Amino acid sequence: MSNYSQPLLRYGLVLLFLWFGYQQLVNPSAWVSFLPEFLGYIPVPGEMIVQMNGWFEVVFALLLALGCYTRLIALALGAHLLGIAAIAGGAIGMRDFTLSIACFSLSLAVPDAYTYDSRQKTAQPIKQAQSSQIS
Amino acid sequence: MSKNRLYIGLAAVFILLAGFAYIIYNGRPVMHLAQENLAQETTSTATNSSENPTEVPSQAGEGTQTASTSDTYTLAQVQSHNSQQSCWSTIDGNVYDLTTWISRHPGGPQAIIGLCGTDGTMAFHQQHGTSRRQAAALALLKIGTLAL
Repeated sequence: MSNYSQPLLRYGLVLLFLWFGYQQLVNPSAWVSFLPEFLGYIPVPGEMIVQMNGWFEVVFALLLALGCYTRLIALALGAHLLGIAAIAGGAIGMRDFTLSIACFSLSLAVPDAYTYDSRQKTAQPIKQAQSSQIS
Repeated sequence: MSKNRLYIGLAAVFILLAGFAYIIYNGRPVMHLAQENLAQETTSTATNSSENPTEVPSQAGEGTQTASTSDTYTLAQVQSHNSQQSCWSTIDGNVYDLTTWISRHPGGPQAIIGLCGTDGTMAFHQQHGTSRRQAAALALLKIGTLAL
């Protein structure tokens, strides 16, 4: 059972970022009010910022689902959530802070057996062994 | 690092940047203004009557009854958009849709809400003077010009 704890955490975070990213892409106007005030100095429409943030979350969630660059992606998403938590504050900020802790936890762990990273690591010693036998 | 892993990473970066470019291209204000103009032209064509609206004589006390072109608005039209749900203002003869700006204004939403449905020229210049940054942000919200 313990072999499934890390994949469960990883796919749960994938679902989280996929859902929120998709919502920001299809309905950006609903999320504009969550933007911080300092972004108002940037002459970029709020809906555009929201959609770009949503696309970032979707792409990184897909990479996390694939398990490629797992630790780096988890670290980036954790930092992203930490920033959102700091800006939002309150109950929403607390929730996002705990989710960022989950992302950091994933980034500190060795990629689980279902990730592309771990499969590459196990495949490399096999190839090296085969090449040494041939030589 | 294996080559496949590197290729996947490069592909992800490319997809990310391509998505950003697509969002920026589709979301630029010129595109929105063009789409709104097209929608208005389609609506006016579908509801066009045999009488030419521009020839209806304006009567005293009823304001202008001339129809606006696709990107020209009357003061009465601007005044009708006087709520947070639909907030228009006219500044320096141009008409701006400030609805999405209410929650993003660095000086707070009340400053924008007070301009809804009114001529905000004096208030804008008193607060921001000739600052290019605020003028650039305002330009993105322009939807047309004020009919004289």
